[in-house]
Amino acid sequence: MSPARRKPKHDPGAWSIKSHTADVVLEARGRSKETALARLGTALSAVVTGADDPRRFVADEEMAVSIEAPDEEALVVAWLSELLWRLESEDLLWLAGGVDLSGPPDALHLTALGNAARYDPKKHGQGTEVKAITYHGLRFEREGDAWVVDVLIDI
Amino acid sequence: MTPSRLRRPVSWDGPLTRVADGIHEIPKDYRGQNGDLTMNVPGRIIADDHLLPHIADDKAPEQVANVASLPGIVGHSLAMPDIHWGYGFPIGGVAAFDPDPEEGPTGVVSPGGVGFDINCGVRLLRTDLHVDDVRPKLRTTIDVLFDAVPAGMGSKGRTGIGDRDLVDLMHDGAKWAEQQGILTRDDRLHLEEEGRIEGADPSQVSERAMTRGRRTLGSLGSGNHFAEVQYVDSTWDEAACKAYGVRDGQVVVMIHSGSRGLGHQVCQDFLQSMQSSSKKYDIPLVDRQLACAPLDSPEAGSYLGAMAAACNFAFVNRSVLAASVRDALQRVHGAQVETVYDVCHNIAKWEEHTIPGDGPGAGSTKRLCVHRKGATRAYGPGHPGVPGDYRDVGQPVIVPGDMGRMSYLLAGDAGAMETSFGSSCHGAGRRMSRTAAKKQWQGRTLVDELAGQGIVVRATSDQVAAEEAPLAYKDVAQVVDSVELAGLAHKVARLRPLGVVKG
Repeated sequence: MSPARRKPKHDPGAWSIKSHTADVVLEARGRSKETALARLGTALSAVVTGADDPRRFVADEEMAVSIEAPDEEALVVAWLSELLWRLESEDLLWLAGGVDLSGPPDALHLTALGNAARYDPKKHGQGTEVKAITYHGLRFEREGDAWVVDVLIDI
Repeated sequence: MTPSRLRRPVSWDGPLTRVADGIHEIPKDYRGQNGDLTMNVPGRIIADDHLLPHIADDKAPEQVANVASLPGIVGHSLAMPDIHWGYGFPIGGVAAFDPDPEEGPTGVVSPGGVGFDINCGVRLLRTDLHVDDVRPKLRTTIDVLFDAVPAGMGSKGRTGIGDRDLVDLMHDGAKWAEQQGILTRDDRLHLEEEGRIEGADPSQVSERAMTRGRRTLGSLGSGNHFAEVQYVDSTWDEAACKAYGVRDGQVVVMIHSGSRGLGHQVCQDFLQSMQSSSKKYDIPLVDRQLACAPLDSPEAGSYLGAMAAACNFAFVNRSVLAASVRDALQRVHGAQVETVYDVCHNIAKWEEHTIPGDGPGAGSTKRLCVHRKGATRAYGPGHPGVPGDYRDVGQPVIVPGDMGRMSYLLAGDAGAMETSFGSSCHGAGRRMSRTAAKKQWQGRTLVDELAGQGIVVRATSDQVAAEEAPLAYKDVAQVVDSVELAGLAHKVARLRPLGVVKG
């Protein structure tokens, strides 16, 4: 079964949306960097829809992503920026999926294949519009046996 | 560089000395929280004694100090009284850079010093209606406005626009909008810079930014953007009121919006490329979000060209929104609607200023690149940049508060040119996170509460309304008091909310 079609297992600690005075912090965790990044994408979709768990939405199609970046921080920003772009230009909302990382540390390549919904505010809800992805306080590091990524998004 | 952690900032305990009424200085020899900062100019925070403790609460002063470390900064690294923690630059930050200093490195331009929402700003419209005309039909008025103004996540503009038009409007801003009949010549002459920033270069705007812009032109956005019907409940400066055409009981409309997806993408694009520029020109950064390029570099030229294009897009966006408001009020009330003024909050502009302080270039009058991020231009009486019919009284400064209490219309004072590169505050600033606000006002609680006060709120969701609860914001009256104390601007009118549309 392709990564896009596996039903995601429920993990309440997978991702969260945290307080920050005027904006929003996304945090995602995973046993691998790839899992943390995939869940970070889902967290972004939770913000824009206002939904508790976007993985419950019915998928309309698959979404494939391929991006490159010169370091891990830039990769995180580029990944979420790409998802934001796909939402705003094609109305495609990332629900869940798999991420693969390759390449040396100064030329990282991310490919992803996931389930996506055709975003409809009436069906999926209107959360908060995301203006951009920031580098502010961005971290992507190991914490215990999990990889953790924190990103502040401008809303 | 070790990234700072995303925990709630603890109180700032750095040095802060009162140098004048409502003005406090971070000395140039402050070495930063890590002991390795080199400031090129002192920092100055505009705030009275009520606000100062709150400002120190979120460590935003540290960002004021960080900005002071950038090359070619002159005068002071400034913060307005509505300052709070931002990305690199604080929100409420003002900083001016010299492109041609007599000594030291060339000044820089930084996308982080403008913000993601390029030319986010406010337009104030006046009507010929009295509050007693509108109250009986208030619900209908706000409902019609809600239908007329696309707002919220996923909202798209209703203005179909092709590539040629998009390029033209990025180049010509409100001038293009006037040619399309979206606003009148009189409206346009009462916008900051007459609604057009010179030097726009649409070729520097990426295809992604253009696609995002095409889909969102004429929409309000989300978060703290709004279209609010208000009435004048107090006035102070009779001459300014007469010049601006405002009077007690008059109904006005305030629109807060920016450059939508186009501007957001321009900033995102250039933040990436400026990371490389900073390395190329050997500019050490204490914060990655301060990425910048020397003003005489091709990279700076590209950013300034794209930024100006995004600014012009925002002027047109607010013009389309204003046209929608005008149509709605004409339909419900047969109202006449005119523009009082339009101000930019997030921008970098070439302006002529006399450099204050005793640092590099002090006392000389020069063309500087002034960054305002969450700050408003506030030119005083006599300045040639103020529209002719306002010149005797100074430039209008529009300061939104919150949807439960009040907003203000101020007039710029000559003191702003001496103290803050002709700048003032832009709003109230948040005091509570969105998550906390949603917890406190669940479901329709907030909308019902405000309805009980006679204020009609139409929001795309209860969640959006709760996030923008009045008490989630600081008291704008205190912010405005601080601005008056420091001599930057003074009160002309207080505006109370009647109803609001939120995305």
